[in-house]
Amino acid sequence: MSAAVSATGDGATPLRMTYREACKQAIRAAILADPRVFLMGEDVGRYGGCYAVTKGLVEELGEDRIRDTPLAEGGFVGAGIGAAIAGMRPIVEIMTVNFSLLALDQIINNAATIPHMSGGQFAVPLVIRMATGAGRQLAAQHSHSLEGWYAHIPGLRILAPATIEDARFMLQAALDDPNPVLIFEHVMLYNREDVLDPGITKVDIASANIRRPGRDVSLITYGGSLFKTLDAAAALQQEGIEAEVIDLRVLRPLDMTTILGSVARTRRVVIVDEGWKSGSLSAEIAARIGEDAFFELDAPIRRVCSREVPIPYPAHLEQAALPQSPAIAAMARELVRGQ
Amino acid sequence: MTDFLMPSLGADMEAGTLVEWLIKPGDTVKRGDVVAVVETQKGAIEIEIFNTGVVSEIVVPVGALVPIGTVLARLGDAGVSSEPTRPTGMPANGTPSTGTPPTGTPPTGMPPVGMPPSGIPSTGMPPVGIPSTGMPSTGTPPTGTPPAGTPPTGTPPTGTPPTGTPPTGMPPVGMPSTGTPPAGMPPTGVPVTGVPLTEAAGAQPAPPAKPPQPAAPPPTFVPVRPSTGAARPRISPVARRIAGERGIDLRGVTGTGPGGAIVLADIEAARAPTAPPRRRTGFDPAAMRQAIAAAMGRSKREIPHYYLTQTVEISAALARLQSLNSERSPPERILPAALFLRAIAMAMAATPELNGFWEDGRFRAGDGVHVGWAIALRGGGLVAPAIRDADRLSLDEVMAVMRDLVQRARASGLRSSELSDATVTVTSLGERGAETVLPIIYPPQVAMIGIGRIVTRPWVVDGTIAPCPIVTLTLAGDHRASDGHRGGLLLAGIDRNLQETDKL
Amino acid sequence: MTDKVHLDRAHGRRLLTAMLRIRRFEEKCFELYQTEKIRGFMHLYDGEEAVSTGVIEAMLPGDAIVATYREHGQALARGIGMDVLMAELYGKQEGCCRGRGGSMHIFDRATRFYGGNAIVGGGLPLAVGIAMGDKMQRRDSVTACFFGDGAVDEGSFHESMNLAALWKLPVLFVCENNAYAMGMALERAEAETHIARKAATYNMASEAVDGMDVVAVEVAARRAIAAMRETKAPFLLECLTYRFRAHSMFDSQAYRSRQEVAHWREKDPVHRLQSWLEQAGLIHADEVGMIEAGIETEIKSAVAFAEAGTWEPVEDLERFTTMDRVPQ
Repeated sequence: MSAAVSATGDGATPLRMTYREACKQAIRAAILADPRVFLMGEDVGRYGGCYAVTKGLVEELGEDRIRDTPLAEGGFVGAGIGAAIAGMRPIVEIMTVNFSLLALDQIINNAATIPHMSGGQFAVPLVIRMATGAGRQLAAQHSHSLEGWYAHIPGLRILAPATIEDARFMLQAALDDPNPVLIFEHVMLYNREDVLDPGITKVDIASANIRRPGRDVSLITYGGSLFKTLDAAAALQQEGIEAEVIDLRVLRPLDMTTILGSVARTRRVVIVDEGWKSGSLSAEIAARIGEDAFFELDAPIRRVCSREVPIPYPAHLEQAALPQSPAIAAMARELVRGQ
Repeated sequence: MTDFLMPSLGADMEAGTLVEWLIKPGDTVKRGDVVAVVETQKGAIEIEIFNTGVVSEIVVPVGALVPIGTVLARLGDAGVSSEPTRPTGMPANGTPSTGTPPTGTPPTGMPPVGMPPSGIPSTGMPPVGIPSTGMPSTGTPPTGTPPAGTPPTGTPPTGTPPTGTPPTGMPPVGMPSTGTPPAGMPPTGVPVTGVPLTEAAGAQPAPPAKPPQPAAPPPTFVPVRPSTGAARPRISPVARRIAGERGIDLRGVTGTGPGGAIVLADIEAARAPTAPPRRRTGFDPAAMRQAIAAAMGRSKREIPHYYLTQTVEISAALARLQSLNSERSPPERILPAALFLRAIAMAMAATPELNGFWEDGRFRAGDGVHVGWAIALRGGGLVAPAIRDADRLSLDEVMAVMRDLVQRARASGLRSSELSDATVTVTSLGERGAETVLPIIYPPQVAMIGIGRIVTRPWVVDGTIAPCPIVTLTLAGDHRASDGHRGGLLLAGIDRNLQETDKL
Repeated sequence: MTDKVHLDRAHGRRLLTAMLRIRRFEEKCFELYQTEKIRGFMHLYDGEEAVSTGVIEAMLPGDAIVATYREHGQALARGIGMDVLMAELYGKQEGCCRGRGGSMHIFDRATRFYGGNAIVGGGLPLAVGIAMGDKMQRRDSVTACFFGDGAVDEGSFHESMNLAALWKLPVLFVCENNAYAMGMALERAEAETHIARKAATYNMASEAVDGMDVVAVEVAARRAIAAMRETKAPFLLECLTYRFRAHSMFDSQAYRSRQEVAHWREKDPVHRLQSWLEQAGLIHADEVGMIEAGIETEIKSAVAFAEAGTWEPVEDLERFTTMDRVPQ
């Protein structure tokens, strides 16, 4: 198996690449395929992208397709909405979810409402990409996981690609969707290397995916927490506990069919969510399982979330605040063993 | 004649106080004239009239707080009215808009919202027309206030009338009570004027004293808690569901989940007997003998038995059976046991004191007549599975159930609920048994009926002696739950049922 | 020259009719609101008719408009039918947005009317984006973005002005400066009250004009738009105007004096144009009477249309939350 990181494969050799590279290839392919597609955001051009996702793209594709914007989130997100309404297919990059708060009005009051509020006259075929999550000791204002907030809003579709395939192909599916789609890329995933299956050329943006089947407990998670959860499942296997790991992939709308089907098989659930527990996406999932799979449950629903603190700077405190594999395994173990 | 109504001036406006009239009766007004000033939460607003005419009547006085849609003034016929100005209120789909009075004009002469109704001495505020439960609709004024029909003199009562706020607890006139005070209004339960809530809310009369409740009917579910009164065990939803589907009695299940909760694994394990785990076929005679010994020992120790016997002549019953069976092949024929069971079940339904359980020092009636039918197993065991609601089954149905139970009992395929549901047990010694059986009650039941062998004996029929088929029925009763009198009634009932064969 | 206004009979009549339509429509809305036919928030345009009329008179059908919650004037001037507009205010499904938006959210695909925005300053980035999309697709359109003096306080104004100037986007920023942001007087809110001057900080051209003079507004708009079609450069047009009625229906106007309102009523743009046209012999009083009669009929018909309208079935509540496709 070739170890080379290449932008284009020969079609037969599995491609080893980073998550970052997958994101970049997705942007590049989309822009080359459709003249209506362009990317704009802060430092996406000359700087090469805050997380180096777009490195080299402005040189290749030009400043009309890779547009640096001033630091004006409300302004350029609103502009992206307007451009989408006027017929373009913009990809707006908000550097991180932390800065997206400055654009909340445009996203929630314009992008999410205009189709419904106009009586179906206008669609907003806009894609917004944001980095999210903690783990780099960036302290409280740079460590939010607010995708659950956005998942609260009707009119938006929320994606959380965790695997290399999803990083590579969710973007195109999002661009094909006539509705506003928000894609959340966890900061700790950018460096993660994996092999891209050349047989996969597209993915859906509707379903959750069972990354690891099991029969004793369902571990439901997404994004940056996926690999921690898979690690926990591997550890549990050593103890004879078969954990099923579900990657949500789509946070709104939730794929309840996959979730409920899993719960009906395992009868025990742990939801892993890097957001804080209170009022988070994990709360929504727990409520729905309680509503629709109550009579399948053999144990209370459990969650592993961030501690209810602003994420602190020093490494030991930051790690203590975030969900970790041992805690996930311990929660699953408690459910299965009953202690 | 056109009415000039209090207009709606904002999404959250429900009422306004008329603070100034700029017109008087006799004035000519035209469309667009400012005719009054209304005070709202947001300050004083001038209001315009949209009709042209001559003012004939000022209805609402200065100082009055009135809801939207209230008639403020009237114009005479000299007026040319434009489009109808009265609010029609409801959208066609019938959803009331909060704060909107219903279609049509609110009743005239209605005192403003917010004024305490009668019951509170206040200057100049008659209660005419206040729609609150318990209040006279035509307004018997309280002592000290002007008589009904007098327009309010406009003096507010003690305390400041709340602007736009009806006193909590009493919905404003005509408005659907949404239960939620409008934003900015005092929270529910807090009287705005400082007057105690009950009075401010219209002094609703105290509800009449409730008649004494009849004794609660016996519960129709089987409580899971053991009779020792232990805390209610916790059961996971799926365990409860599967136990229900399989008819597993949760009383007999030990929980291994958190805090002793019963979980699915416990239900799975409950299907098989605990020691040793066994398959469906066959049974352990020694274990069964032990169980019987324990039950019988306990019964004789704890239950004060009394015994009554009745000898019943059953030629009529047997004749009935013969006629029923004459057209049937052997597998479909009805056995005498079914006849007895049905007769017994119907009689039990009429004497409920014998149909139930003795628990915690008192009798608890069964939720139906579920007759346990004692079946001898090959190898020496004995089980008494229940025929549920035997009093409501037809003879054919009883026979079918009995056949099924016997077959499953011998194949060890009985459900635990069948083994625990019986409210009374019947034992018959069959054709090779003794003439009389004195049964031992199976606790916690309070009665057991034994049926002896059918024999032919001399009997007095119409003054002569003739050989007749007779059977001796014996009732064992728990004297804590019943006495000989009740027991005798039961036996008499069974006898009668066996004579009135057309009812069987 | 397309920036000169030749005020002949037809043109004068057209302007007057347009403004009278708005004025009478708003008066009708005022009445209907008080009988609860129209609910929620409603913001009337009386006094500001010259701004929307003058600017939109200078625009072409392919141009785009973004407006605020006080947008009945823009909607009517743009040609959205009075009937579907009234039905929208009633909340009926025959309204331009199926009754979904009401007074503050008028959208119309046919006339490129993009709301109707209830967030002060919320429409400006949208206008920037529409202009951006048009420019990228090589259309000649310009986007007129109406907003009030209050929006100038918001960050979105500055971001949008900057983006439009930086990226050379054909946005006509029309500030309807009626001196109040709800109850907040301009001089109490802005360190620099000459709004047109603010464009200089973005290297953008601008002009301040008498917003009570429809001809002046039209002239200025025409000039700015003509240049914009060539250069794509944005422009800020500050129109000094006044709203005769309160901010919204539920407003006691404690923040301004009656004298001030009366003073501005003397500059009523509709009366001014009418007098001027009459004095210039471009229109006769009986013609005005006929125009008024026609408008009255039109309004009656619109009200009847709205009254006869139906409610969108509740089963359709979730329709268009997400779209199956982009409408073409």
